[in-house]
Amino acid sequence: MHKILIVDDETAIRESLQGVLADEGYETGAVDSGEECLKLLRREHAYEVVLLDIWLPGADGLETLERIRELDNPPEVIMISGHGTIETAAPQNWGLSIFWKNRCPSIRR
Amino acid sequence: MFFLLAILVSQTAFDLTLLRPGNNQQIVVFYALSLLISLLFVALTFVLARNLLKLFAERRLGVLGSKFRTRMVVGALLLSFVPVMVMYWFAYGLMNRSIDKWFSTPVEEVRADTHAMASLLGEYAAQNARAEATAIATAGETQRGFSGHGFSPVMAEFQNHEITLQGGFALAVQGGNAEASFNAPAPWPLLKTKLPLAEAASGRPARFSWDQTEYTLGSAQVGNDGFILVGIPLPQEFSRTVRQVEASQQRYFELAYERRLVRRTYMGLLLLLTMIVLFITTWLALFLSKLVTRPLAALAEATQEISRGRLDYRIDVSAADEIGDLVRSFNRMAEELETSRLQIEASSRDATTANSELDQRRRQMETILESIPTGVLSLDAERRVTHANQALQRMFYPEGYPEGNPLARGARLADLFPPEVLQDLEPLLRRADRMGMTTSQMETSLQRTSLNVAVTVALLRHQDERSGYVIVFEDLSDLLKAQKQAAWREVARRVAHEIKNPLTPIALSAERIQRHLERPAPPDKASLEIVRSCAETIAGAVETVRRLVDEFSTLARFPASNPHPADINEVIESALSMFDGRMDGINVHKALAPDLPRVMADAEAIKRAIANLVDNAAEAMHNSLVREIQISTSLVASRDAVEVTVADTGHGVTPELKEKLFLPYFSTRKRGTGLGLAIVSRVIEEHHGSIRVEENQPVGARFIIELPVVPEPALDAVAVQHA
Repeated sequence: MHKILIVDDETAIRESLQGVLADEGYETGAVDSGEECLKLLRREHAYEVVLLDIWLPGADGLETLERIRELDNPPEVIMISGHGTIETAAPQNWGLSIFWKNRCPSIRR
Repeated sequence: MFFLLAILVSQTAFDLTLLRPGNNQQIVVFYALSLLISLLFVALTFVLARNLLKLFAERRLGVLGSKFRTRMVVGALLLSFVPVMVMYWFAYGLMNRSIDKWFSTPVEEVRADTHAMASLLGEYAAQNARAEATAIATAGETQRGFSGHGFSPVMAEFQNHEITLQGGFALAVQGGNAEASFNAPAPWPLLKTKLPLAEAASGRPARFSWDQTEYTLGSAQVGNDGFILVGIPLPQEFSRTVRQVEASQQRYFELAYERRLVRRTYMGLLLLLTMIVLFITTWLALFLSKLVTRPLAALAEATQEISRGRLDYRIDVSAADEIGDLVRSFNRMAEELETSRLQIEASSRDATTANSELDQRRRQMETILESIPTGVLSLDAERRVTHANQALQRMFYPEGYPEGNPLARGARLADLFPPEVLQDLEPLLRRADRMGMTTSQMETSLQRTSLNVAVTVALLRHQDERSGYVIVFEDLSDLLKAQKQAAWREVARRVAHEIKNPLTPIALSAERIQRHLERPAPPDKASLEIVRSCAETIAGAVETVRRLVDEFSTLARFPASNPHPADINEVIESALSMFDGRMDGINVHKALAPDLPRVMADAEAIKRAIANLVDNAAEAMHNSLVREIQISTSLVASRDAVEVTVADTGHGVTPELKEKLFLPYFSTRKRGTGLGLAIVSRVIEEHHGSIRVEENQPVGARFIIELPVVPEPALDAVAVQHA
């Protein structure tokens, strides 16, 4: 079973996502900032996927993404944002595979 | 040809019929001389006449210098005429006298006497001869001899008269034959042919010469056909002397004839001399006047040429003395004229070029002035309009002028602007007088148009003297509008963001509820719990949106600030009173400076702004150990402003955040919507004030607001209003 970490500053979003993912049987964790995310990832290596909001207080999503990449055995990262498009939010050199616009919340297996 | 004509004229003019080919050499010489004289005379007269005629013609034609020449010639002729005439008459008289002396009376008398004496001597000898012949003829012996008695008695008679015959001869002729002869120099037949018998017989004096001896003859009739002829020899010297006398007489007559010719010749010579003198005089006068008139004519021509503009004209006449100096100085003058004209032309060309460049630059400046959207008004030192551009007209008179053209040159400022604008302009002009240049912002309404302009007044100085002003009006209305639009775009973007954020959990929760409800099995307790929590999430998010919309509508209703002179300390007090009893655990210190000048402030708006800052500070100190807010006011004299500082001991502001802090709706807090600082910023901007953030020592942030104090005239106006 994949373990998923959710990074978003909005509590409502965090909780909703956790709930949805829990319904699907995923084990989830949630933090509200990039710094917390990195701290957690350094401590626990169980997370395989990170759902990362682009707009974050402090170090924003993009900065956090860079840091995650620098870790040993980094997890897969899915950038999420309620705004913008993949073009503006995620240039090609990020190497992102999934860009999830959280405006479209339906999750299909 | 003229020469031939002259000869012809001389032939007819002079009486040359006297010309008689004589072998007298003198006559030939005189003739040649007189011919030469007449030729010369004619030639000179011709030349003289020609010169005079030419002069006359020139005078008639008005040739330059002819009058001067005429005057010179007339003067010279007058000057020379009297002496020449005197000389002529004197010489003429002298000549006449000498000639007359030559042919004087004594000479004539001597000549006549000598001639008479020679005649008398001849007569006397002839009478002697006739008396001797008569004496012989009347003798008896002779009578007998002719009456046929032989001629021996006659012969004897001849011998009787031998002495009285004085060595002469005697002949007795009868019937043409010499019957007796005595002492005859030659035989009768020889003598008969030579002797002038008829003359002797008639009693007239007859002469006869034979063998160098001259005889005077005398005869006397004897009988019918005979006569006695006696020849008495004359002295040998006598006949030669008489011949000489006669020759002298002949020569004298010839000379008397020549005298006329001589006189004529001398007269001609004199005339010629006179003419030569007159000619020379005329010629000299002409020559001298030509020395003057030629350079003068050249000068006159040159003057005309130069007056026609031909400054390169030079006089090419070589003249000496003062005239030469004149010509040279004239040439020098012409040269200087030409040089200076060339210089003038060059400088005028330069000036034209410079002028056209200046003109072009001026036109360019004008074009620029007329095309820029900034209103430019230039005034002279008396504050009268010297130039106003189109933009100014569009700015202040968009609907045309009320009457006349207040922007015309020379108009007064008072004709141009309404009193409230003037009131704002006056202090600016005064400040420009002091500082050279000043800038301010002002808002005015003109012709139903509200105008927000930045006014820059610059003093024009020319050689340390005030020469006028340039006032530049920059229309800020569009700029402000654009700023407002940009702000509202940002508001819209932020609001959209703030609304989207709660939408995600709402959508997620709703879907989740739906899924749980769609499960075939009846919902267990856990599912119901999830549904309940989802419903809570939805309600919370909806509440967030509602609050957001409320705040947004507050912002939309936000009234425009209406600044009035206000006491800032009072405003702060009223702002703080809003927090009474709600500042749990926060110390609020006030350090309000007394006697602050009034500021231009909308009390309500500023109160809200300050309250916002205080609220912000309290929020920032939410997790701080020391929670303290300090509010202070002070005067910033250098900027005519009052400063309000709100300092907290919260988490502070990072340098990056400082830049974004006053952008609309930037927020670092989760509570609220982030409209606070944007509202504050906007209010302060509307008051022409400023807001900035600094770090507080030792910790926290410090927000500083500056508000302009009330300008003096405005205070007065307010005082009047209140009165």
